[in-house]
Amino acid sequence: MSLHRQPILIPAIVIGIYMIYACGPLLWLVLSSLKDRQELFSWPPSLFFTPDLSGYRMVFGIGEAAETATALGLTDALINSVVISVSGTVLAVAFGTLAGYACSRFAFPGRDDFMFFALSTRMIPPVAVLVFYHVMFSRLGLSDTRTGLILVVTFINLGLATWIMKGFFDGVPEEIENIALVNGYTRLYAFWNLVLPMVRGGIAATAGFCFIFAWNEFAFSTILATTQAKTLPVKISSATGATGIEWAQICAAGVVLVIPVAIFFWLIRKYLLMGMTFGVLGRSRT
Amino acid sequence: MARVALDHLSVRFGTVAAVDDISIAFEQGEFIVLLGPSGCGKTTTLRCIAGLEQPTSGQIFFDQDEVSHLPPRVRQVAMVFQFVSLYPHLRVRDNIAFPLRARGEGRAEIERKIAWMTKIFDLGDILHRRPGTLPPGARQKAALARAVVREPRVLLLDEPLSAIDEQFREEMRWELRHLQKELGMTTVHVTHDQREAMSLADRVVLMRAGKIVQAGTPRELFDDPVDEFAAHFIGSPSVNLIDAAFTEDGVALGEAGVPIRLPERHLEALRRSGLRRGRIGIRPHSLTPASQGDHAAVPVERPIAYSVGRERFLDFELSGQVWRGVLPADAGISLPERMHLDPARIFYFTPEGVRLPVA
Repeated sequence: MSLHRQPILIPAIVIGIYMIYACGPLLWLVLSSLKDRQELFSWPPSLFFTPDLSGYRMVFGIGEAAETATALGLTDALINSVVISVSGTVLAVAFGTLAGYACSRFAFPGRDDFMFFALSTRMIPPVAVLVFYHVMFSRLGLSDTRTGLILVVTFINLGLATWIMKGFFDGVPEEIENIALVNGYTRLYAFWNLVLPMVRGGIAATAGFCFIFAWNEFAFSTILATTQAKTLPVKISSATGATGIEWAQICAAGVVLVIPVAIFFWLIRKYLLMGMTFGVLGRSRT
Repeated sequence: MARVALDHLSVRFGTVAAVDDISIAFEQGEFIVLLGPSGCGKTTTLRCIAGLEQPTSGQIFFDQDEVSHLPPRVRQVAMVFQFVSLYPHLRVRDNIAFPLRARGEGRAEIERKIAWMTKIFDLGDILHRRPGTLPPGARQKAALARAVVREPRVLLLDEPLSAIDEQFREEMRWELRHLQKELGMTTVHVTHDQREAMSLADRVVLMRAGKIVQAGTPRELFDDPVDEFAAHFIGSPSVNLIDAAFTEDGVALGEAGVPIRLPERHLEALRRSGLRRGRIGIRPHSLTPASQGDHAAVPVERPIAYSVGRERFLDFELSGQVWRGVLPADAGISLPERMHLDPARIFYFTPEGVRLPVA
């Protein structure tokens, strides 16, 4: 009994410390979002108090709290974020799936170079290309538009989506299509009806990653979305107004920002590891 | 059923020629086995016939029709693959119906054909099961049924038996052979197992490095190999080979120069070649205990005798190499001191491995 217990103790302590380190800020964020000014700055921070929802009211512009000068009114930004992230994710996953399939199945000239290029798009620090984007977008009339940011988000995710999806397609034996092909079906039929259902998990994982990157995207949005198309992270970062910092409001906005990511992670938790390993785990090629 | 002709077929991947300018025709109803070591181009050739691979150059004909660049779905071929042959999410009967549905055949017609296949392949017990729950042998049987049900012009088999365990494989071979004859299907079967090739084929096509080494009946390949590779690849236990010096009255084997006297017509052939050295080969079954005063015999050193079933073999050392011969089943425990080479069965090769004809 004790023999069995002992080795677990040290990992438990290590994990416990890590959990406090990882979850502490999150807990602080949630609690603070529900506190009023007084409560917020009391030390030590109180765990039990009467919740005050004025932070959330200000965030969503509900009731009298919205009338105050410092109220952010994040509803627009939230809609922008949702539209941009979801559209960008759908596009990146759709194109990434097609590109990943092509790279997995066809040995076209320059395939390896293409794959490296696709990956390299993720290695570029956004700052390096920001100016170029700024100029290009203003010429094309894409500055400060959702369309423009959807394109950016699609671009930054496409390479990753291609790589992850290629990994998943590699895990599907080629015979799956070959059987259909020699039995009188088209490749499109085989791809759509046989191969795609087999990589559903991969698509979920890819979509999860793409959505999270899109949702958290900050650098491009700050520069390219100045007013109309402002996304949630950009809006929150600009919450330090002239009349001081509305901490409760910022914390409430932070919670709003975290929730979709948390939900998404929870939904795709099964596929996360597969996605991180480019589909290598869980399936082996026969 | 069609006659299949390959005309100067080549497939190149980059600079590598997987299939290198091969021309051969498979007659209607013939059971062809493409045999060779891995990477010899046999599977690529098969995939070309199926349409899963595009030839770099050359043509493929089914009867009069050129199909070289047609997509697989219009070629009316059927193929059985090595590992994944059935769709795991479909029951056996739906797997069999799969190619029929592609052609939009009616329900009654499909039912009739499934019943026909069930009878031929004895699938009654497994028709409603999913492939995952079946042993590999039953799976390949169902895969074969799916291939045959569409009455293809050519049946293509890509090592369909290699994933099946030894015992059941022999039964499957027998069954495959019967079916093929019964239905008169032009069949192209790929394998690296020479025993499988010998037991199935009307004609074996031995390949190496993208080229056809030799095509012929199993008997021809065994008795009359065109070169050292063919001699070595076919036959088990495999052929005994050794370097030899061609002398006035015979050959001297190995570094030890063990002399063998040869009949005059062999000597003439060797003289005609103008070679001083080469290699000789002899199959174990043509290497038997020598009688007194035999001049076509080699000494037996460090012998080990053993039986495989009713066959008795004798392994011994000859000039640093292990040679294998056979012993009569009724021989006593005393081992022969010399083994006799049947001169009519000796293969002569140039140092490059090309067979020297002895007419």
